[in-house]
Amino acid sequence: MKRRQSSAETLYLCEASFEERCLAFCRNIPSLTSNDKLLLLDFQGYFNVPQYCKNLAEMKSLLEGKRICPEVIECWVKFPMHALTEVKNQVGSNSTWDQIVMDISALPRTYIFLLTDYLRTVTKQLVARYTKPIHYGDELSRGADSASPIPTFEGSPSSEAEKVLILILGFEGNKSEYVWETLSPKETIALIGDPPYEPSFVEEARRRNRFLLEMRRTDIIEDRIHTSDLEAIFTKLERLYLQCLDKIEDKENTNILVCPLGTKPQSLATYLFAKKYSHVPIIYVSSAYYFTDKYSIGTGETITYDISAFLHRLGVER
Amino acid sequence: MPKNPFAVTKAEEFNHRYQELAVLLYFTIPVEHLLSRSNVFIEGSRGSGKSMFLKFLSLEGQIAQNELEKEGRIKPLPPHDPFIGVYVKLEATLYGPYEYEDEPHFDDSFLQFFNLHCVETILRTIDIGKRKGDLEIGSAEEEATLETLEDLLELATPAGKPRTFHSLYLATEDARTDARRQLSSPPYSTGRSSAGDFLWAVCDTLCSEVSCLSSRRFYILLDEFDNLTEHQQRLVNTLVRKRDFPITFKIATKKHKIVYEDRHNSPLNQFDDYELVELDDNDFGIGGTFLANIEKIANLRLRQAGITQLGIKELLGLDEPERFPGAVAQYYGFRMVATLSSGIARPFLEFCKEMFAKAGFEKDDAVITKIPEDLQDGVLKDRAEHLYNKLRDVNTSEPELEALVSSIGNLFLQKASALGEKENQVIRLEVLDYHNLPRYTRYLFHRALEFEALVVPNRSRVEKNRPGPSTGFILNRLLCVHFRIFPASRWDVEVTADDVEQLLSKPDESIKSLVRGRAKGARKGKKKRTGASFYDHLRMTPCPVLDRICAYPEENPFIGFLAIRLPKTGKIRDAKDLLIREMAKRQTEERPWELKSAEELPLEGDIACKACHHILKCGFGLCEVTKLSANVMFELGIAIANRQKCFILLNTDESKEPPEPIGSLEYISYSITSKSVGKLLDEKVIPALENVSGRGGKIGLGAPETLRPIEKQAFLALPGDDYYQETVKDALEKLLSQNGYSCVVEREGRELHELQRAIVRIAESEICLIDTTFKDSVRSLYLGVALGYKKPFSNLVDIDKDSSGAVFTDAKQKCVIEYSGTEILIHLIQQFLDNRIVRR
Repeated sequence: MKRRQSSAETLYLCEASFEERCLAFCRNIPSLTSNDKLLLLDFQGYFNVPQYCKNLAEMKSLLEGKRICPEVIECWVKFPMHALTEVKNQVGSNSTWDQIVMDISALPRTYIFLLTDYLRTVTKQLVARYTKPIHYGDELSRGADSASPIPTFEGSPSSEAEKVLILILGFEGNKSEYVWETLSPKETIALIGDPPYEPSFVEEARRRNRFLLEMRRTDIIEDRIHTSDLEAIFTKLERLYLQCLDKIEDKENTNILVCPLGTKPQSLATYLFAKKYSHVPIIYVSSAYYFTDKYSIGTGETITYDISAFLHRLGVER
Repeated sequence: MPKNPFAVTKAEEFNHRYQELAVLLYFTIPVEHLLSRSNVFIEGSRGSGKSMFLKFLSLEGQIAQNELEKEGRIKPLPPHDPFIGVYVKLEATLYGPYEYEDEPHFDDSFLQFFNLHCVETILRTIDIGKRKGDLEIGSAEEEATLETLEDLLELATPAGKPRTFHSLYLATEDARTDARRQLSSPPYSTGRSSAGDFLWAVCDTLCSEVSCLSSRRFYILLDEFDNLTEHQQRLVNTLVRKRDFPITFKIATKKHKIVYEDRHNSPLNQFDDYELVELDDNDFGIGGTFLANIEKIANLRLRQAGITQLGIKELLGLDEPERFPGAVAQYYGFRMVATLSSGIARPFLEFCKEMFAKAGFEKDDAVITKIPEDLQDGVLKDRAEHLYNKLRDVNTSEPELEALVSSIGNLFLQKASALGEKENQVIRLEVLDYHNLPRYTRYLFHRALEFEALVVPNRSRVEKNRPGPSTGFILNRLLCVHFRIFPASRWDVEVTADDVEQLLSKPDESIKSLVRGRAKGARKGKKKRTGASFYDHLRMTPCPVLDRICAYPEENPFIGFLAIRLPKTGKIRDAKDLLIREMAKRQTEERPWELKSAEELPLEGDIACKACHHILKCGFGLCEVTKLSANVMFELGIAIANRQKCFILLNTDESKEPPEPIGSLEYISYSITSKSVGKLLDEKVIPALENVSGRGGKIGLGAPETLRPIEKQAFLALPGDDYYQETVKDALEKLLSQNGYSCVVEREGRELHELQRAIVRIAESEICLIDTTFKDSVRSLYLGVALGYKKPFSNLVDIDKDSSGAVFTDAKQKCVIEYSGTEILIHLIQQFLDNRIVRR
């Protein structure tokens, strides 16, 4: 991370997680001036998860070493709206930051949507940082609790309409199966991440989503989508959406839904897509249980995304 | 029409082809239920046809029905009142849990959203009806109606656009979208549309302003009701309870995800508030009714596809597969395919669809004959493995889920083998004390239902000598193929919560033990014992008043206790004398009937002891409840705890209705005359007592035999005033917590299930603190139950509010704690707790 101009004010936001890669942000953060601020999201309910506690302690130690005292925001994964309110309280209602840098590496998807959408309004430049893991665990999560729209990204679906589901697949086949069964779409476009972080990941994703992909149903179409290039992901989503729209005869009685289950950059790009096509509902699926001890392994490459610039290109202003 | 007659198996797959739906729909339930003016809940598994019936009732479905009727292609429906069916799908994308459901005004905001969703669909339906020519609405009539509706909805047609049902529907859709969005982010603002009568106001307007709607009811057809959280269901149920013209609700739901209570947690009343229609077959696929229905459904499809030369029985064959102990070698034939569908239409159609395709019958030149048995067998076995693999697949479920289903399946298999060839039909599990299962295990059962590995039977089983039903689960018959069990169900396996835990932790050991237990019991012709009985322990528990184990007096079946108010004069005094006298008149040498009230008994030091001892000596009891009295209820409580036969009496000279708290118990009414009392004894009481094996007089309340007391749990019942519910309760809870107790709190129960819940909680608890200030009758009953279950208890009386609040006014029990202010109460309760510890 480059040292910013001394007169500018920068707000940093990071999150503790059971994933090791959450540490990368704290390792790379520069020392702060009195105008700067760091918000640390501490997710409650993980007090008995050793990996989480270890990472949180290490984050605090890293920050202490840099003499950074974060504002800790206690939040719950299941209550993102509450967390948003807390962040708003910390950020200040009428403030404008020169820059906001947020880490999305291990941020829950609902948080990515809600926080990005809020933070973009209180800064000239919103930057998202994403650190890849070296590898993922053999099994990430089990079961699914619910499949429902992300709060405030419900879109404006027609009731009792048929559905076309654009489903970005990840490694959690339990979620893709659940959302497909819950929504009963007329047509599903199942997108596998490509290029993969590792060459084996494409087959891995196929294997973990075999329930959906091996049914060989004509109403499930398999396709590819970029894993980390926001522009490429956005463009692909937009093209697929417009193609679907073009193909649908009864537009009034068909809803197109997007469900991002893949990488965090894919979720971020879906957010950008939702800003342009605000009537499209974005669906979130939560797992019943996460394998917190080896969800992901190691800390890999870090990518930075200028969200404000992208939104500006889309014509979405603060 | 597709080439495969079974291609369409879901209501959604009909798209908007309502004629096809109307042709293929076969009524497996009496159609009169659906057409009636009553609210109806339609319960059924996934694929049982719920959505098909609702879609058929929709206006679009009815238009198709009328057209086909006119063409003579289908039979007319039985006579019914005119209605407009409005199909409202409660989709998971619109409904489901919200982060702020507990926030103030969420309920209003949710109702606003729900109301707008219904109104949007009503307007859309009318628009469709108008466009299709089914509803004749003149433009002036439309204009006037919409003007009124716009005011009501607080919406306006955009300037320059014509005012039509379509434009108002679109505007309402936007308002509904906003309302949905608002549910995610409080503070909530509400409007006219959040009112409980808003839907009625809209429909009333439509009925009064549009002539073709004037006599029609609006049937609001709510599909996928189970997508609503329990709280949201309660809110909608409050509307269902209204029942006023012109709205009727027909609601489709999965049966294990439904709450029949309103927003005040009051239960909906079946018959009064709603009728229930169950689509799942009671026999889960082996009953004659299902076989006949599914045959008709399949034949309809074959004929519709132009296949007239053979029916489903010929297509699948009527041969029965060869059977060997525990299973069958191959699975084929009409009856077997129907059986493996567990009595649900969709699986049957899915099996047929795949068999038809694999047999090559979809080709243009195919000659359609019987589907080969090997092919049928292959499809069914593949399907069974697919269902099981869904549980096993690491991506789809928790490993404990597979472990649970696997243990249950293996238990049935071992049990079937142990019972021998003739009785190898075990696929039903009865958990006797389901409520005692840990939360996670209950979650696993819930997941097993979600995955359709287990199915909830339509009827609960109530075994003799058990106060409540057990919780039943049936293995999906298709999984019998996986477990090599014969897919029928004659016997069940009864297990306790402990057994289920053992099944999960030590499956092999536990299965062996359960199988051995049942087989042994079966040989001796005895019922299986399911652990030490709660009531066995009771006999060896010290009395909480005397702090010693009381000798149980020998019960005399001909002596009854008479629990009755004992004022000096008045009608009730006459009633008491009459009851005792008339019973005495019926004494014979063989049957020395006698009734005794507390007045006829000698002093025993403590009034509670006296009542308890007397009740235990008696073979039965008569409880006169006309004007509730605390001591009558106390005695009733002791009797319930001791499983005594009890008759509730109501004299019609003093009251025509039973008092509210026990309105849900069955009672016998009489008037205070010799003739009427004689009739009561001769026709009701004595015949029930002489029928030794009958249930006469047994009140369906009490702790189950299998109940396990919970250590360090305290039962707390206080008056409903804010002072007791806030100040006193908080102080007591805090004190109990400091002493290591967890608290269960009960208010006065009004319904049978509330009384039962409280009674079970008393039985579970280690100690009971019950406040009878104001002589509340239900809490007095709780007090009697606590004594009956020998729970150390304190009868609290706030002498500031009610100096005579003890249950017995003429004698004080040892367990009464009179208090004045919270501080004194806390001090006295601490003493009570300390004494308990010393005693123990």
